[in-house]
Amino acid sequence: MPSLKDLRNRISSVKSTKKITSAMKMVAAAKLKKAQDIAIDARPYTERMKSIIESLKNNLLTEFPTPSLISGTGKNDTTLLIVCSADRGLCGGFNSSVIKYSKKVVKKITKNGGKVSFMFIGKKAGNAMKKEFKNDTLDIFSEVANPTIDFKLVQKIRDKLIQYFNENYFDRCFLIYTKFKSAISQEVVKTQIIPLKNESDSSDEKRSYDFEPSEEEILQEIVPNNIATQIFTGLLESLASEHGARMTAMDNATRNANDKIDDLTMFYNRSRQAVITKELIEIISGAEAI
Amino acid sequence: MLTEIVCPNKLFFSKDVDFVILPGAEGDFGVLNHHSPLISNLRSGLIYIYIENKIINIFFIKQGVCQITQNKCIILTERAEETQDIDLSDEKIDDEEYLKLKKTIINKKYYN
Repeated sequence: MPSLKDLRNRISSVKSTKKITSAMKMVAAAKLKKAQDIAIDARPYTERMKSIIESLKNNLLTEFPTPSLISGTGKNDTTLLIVCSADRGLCGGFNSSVIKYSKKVVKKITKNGGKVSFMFIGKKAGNAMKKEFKNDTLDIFSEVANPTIDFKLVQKIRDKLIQYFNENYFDRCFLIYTKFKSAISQEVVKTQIIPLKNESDSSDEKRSYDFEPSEEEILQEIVPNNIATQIFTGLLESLASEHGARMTAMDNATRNANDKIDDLTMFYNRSRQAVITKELIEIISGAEAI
Repeated sequence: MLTEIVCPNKLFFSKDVDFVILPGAEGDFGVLNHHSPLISNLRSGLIYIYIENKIINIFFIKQGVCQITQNKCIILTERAEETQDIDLSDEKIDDEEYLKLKKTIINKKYYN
């Protein structure tokens, strides 16, 4: 049985842990609000971009020699996965679910005889997976969201990506990120960003657009921009999810700490009373003996 | 005609207007209601927005692309600014190329 002093020490240590977790929860909540606002503000651009890309795709001429960023290299040998995770831990299952999901994707690809390589944005997933896939890791970007995600930085990542593509490092590219649903629910998803064309695409809407200057030039301009936009949106969602996950995790931790404090305090009081009772019994029985 | 200027970080401008002049890749062009569907690249330059034959806004954009459908004109650009708000003397912009571009284009506007 622990002594009263031990119990007191434990209670005070749990109390200080609780202070930390509740402070972290507050910080995460404030950051979540901000990240959410930014993600919502960024939505119109993504939507418009998507609609333009859709119209372009539906109007592509078949004899038109499409650049490989659009139609791909014609093979599916190597797949590049861009994995978005956090730079910091203490956010519940956020990072581990990204890692788990990525490993599942890798398994699926390698099962069909494909190869994978990686680009990590956020060092948590990078650190966890670089041992296993040491030779396949092209880049690890960290501190991307410091203080906010800058579109220019995303463009730099995009440029690197395109450079790798042009050097034939990979044939197609998936972005794996965590989609923000609410503060308590997030979902890891993957989207294909290279090539632009998907097998499952259907061209229902046909509207004859005029192009200025030419379709090819517009595509050359807009396709890299679209890649950057997709990465940007993914990162914004991922950041919001991270803060949401952290907030929930810290909320749980605070609640657990409260429960623990209650239990310990109860136990402490019981033991204290037991000690007093014991002393009284000793005194009384001592007096009776005389 | 609904006109929207959209930047990656926000919906910059959205209004029902009568007439828009855009800096197209192959020269400036005007857009009225019921324009034929068009997708065009845009140079860095100025966008003039008219309501009832009066210029109500002049925006500076850094490149972009626009999609024009029947009664909608959507402009996607990396950066946009209201020219009246631009103060060329004290800029904290890290992007030198952008600043230079802006200076030349805006000076030209007053020069004309």
